[in-house]
Amino acid sequence: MMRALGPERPGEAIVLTGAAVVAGATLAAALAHLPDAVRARAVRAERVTQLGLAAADAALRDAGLGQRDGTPRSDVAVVLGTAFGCFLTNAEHQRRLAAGGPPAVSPRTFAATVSNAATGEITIAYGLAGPALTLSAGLASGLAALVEGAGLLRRGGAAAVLAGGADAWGEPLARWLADAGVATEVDPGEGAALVVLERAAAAQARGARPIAVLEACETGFAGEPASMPPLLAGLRPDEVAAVAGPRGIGAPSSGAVPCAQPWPQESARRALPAGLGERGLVALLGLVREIPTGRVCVAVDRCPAGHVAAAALRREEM
Amino acid sequence: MRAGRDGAVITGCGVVSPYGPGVPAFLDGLRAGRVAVGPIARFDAADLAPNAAAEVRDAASDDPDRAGAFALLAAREALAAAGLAPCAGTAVLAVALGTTLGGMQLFERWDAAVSAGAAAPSGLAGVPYYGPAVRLARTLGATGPVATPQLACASGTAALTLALGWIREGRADVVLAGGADFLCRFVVAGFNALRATALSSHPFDRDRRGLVLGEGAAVLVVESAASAAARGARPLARLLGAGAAADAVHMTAPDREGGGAARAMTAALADAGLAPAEIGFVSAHGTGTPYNDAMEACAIARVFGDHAVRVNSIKGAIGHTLGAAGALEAVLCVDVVSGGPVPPTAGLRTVDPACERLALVRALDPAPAPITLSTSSGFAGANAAIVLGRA
Repeated sequence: MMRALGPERPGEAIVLTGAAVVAGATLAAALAHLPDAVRARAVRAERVTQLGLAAADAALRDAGLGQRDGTPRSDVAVVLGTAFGCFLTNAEHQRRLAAGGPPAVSPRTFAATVSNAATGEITIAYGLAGPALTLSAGLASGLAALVEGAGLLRRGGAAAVLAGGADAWGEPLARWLADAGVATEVDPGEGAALVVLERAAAAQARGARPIAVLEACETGFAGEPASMPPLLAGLRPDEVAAVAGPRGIGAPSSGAVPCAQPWPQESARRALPAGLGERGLVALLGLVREIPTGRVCVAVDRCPAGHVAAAALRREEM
Repeated sequence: MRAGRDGAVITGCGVVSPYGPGVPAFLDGLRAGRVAVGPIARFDAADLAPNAAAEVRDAASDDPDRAGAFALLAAREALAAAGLAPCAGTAVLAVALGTTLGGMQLFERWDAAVSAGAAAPSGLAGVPYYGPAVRLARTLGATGPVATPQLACASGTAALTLALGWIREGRADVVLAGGADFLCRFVVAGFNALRATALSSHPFDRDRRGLVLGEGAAVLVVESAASAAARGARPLARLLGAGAAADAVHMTAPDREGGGAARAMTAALADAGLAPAEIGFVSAHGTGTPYNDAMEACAIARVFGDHAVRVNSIKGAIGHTLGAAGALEAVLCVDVVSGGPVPPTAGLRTVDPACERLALVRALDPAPAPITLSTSSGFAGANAAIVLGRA
């Protein structure tokens, strides 16, 4: 099932007040721009955590929430989606154990094997003491985190939510994907995409200017064919300016993204960019910068494992 | 308090624990205060020190995805108890399954094969952290949200917080929510390196030295009250509220003041619309490590003040089952709100002066607790809590 949620009444609408994408290729430059204390944490952390910290810093600054006086902010939540978490650190821990036995194991490395390491570092670096959730929904993780972040806001669990996806690419992961026989289903890439979500009224009250309105979003599991629901229900086809999705999108008959109604014929379509759990949100944030004010862009991701996530943004005046 | 047709109820539970498969074995073992810890027997542990754990000895012994196999056994028991077997029928089924290791059982064998230049083992596609949730979703026909919450040792409790949100938003009718984890050299060597482990676990004890690892799974059928009513199912309990919070202090050590755990518990109570004094029992995280238990004593005191709420930990009995722990403790809470007794805190001998403010349950306590709270914490400053009430 995939029931598009929203739109809501004015003021209650969920808006993006900050957004950032950090690609693997731009990570070094992004790290150089981090505040000293954050950079000091980042350089000791795994690559996925570095990507997450860099994107978090940029998204929070974009939203005007980057400054902190050291006081923890218990009303700001973090929801981070990741397909493979700290896979690279897991591989390193396993290598040490296999090569040198228990004495060779590093407590620091083991502690960083947990998939919520990036989330933890972000909460510490920026004093975000509200709800913090890390989840995996395979390659749809980034969009799924956006969906759960929006849900947290709707339920009153936080005043603002930093939500999105992060994944790192590396030799052990490439090797594993090849050995698992799923390498052909993944376009190698890495990065982090994070947004700041708030209620429109809350954003207005603090003078923040929304980038876009979250019109609809949902997750589902499409293990069976044609279970993709009518995401576009509630949106007029002529409102949708651009759609991004897995390879094959744009040909509804192909079944690549089963949908209860055809995609708008006139909208621009493109395949999702290379990458892992962050790719769906990277695509969505790329589209929203290109479409005209007032129009809608949609990203749909479907992981070969079965997870589906989708979101629609309406561009505000920037 | 939230109630009525828009609420969430628990209509079934399933467990694979170190006592063996099934909810009855789990509850019987806990009530007896039986300690299921012994020398690690399922894999080579001769060079691991300490090498004690609470292993599952009689389930899924040959399955290469041990956590997923545990979860599937637990899910099937839960669905049968809920009257939903063999599948959820026309209801929109969702899966929230927390884990720390997921399908990584094959990781060790794969790494060994790669290092030796040998052929990779088969079945690697199920290895990722999200492997067990996908296995449940595919096997049982989920079409709603499917996610693997990863809050380290708070993952099982986080799964129930996700499930409650999905039910309230109408995104699913039935959610299989819980956690699953398994033991292997990877995790035992890691916890040993952190000097967090001991040969036996003594939660809240003056002489506690560390945790003992365990393995298992628990899955709860979280269902919208409307869905349960429509099919005439009898709820076992109500899931009244949930909360989560980050410590935002340190990656491995808990906040000494218990800030994150207190915020998570407070958020869960507020979500349920309840005052602390209305809680009759708290299922603590209670790992038996010096820092965790002192932190939790602090956090519980902050939230409950002078209300002498009863507290226990089951980790002295079945070990710390990581991502499964919160879900197993939720199954205990379902039993307690249904009128079951509160089990003793196995392993507790002499209460730590730092934990003296807690009303720790030392012997099987039959006094009713119609509303309970379960709290979990984990690496990276993760905390989550849920509130369960009598149906």
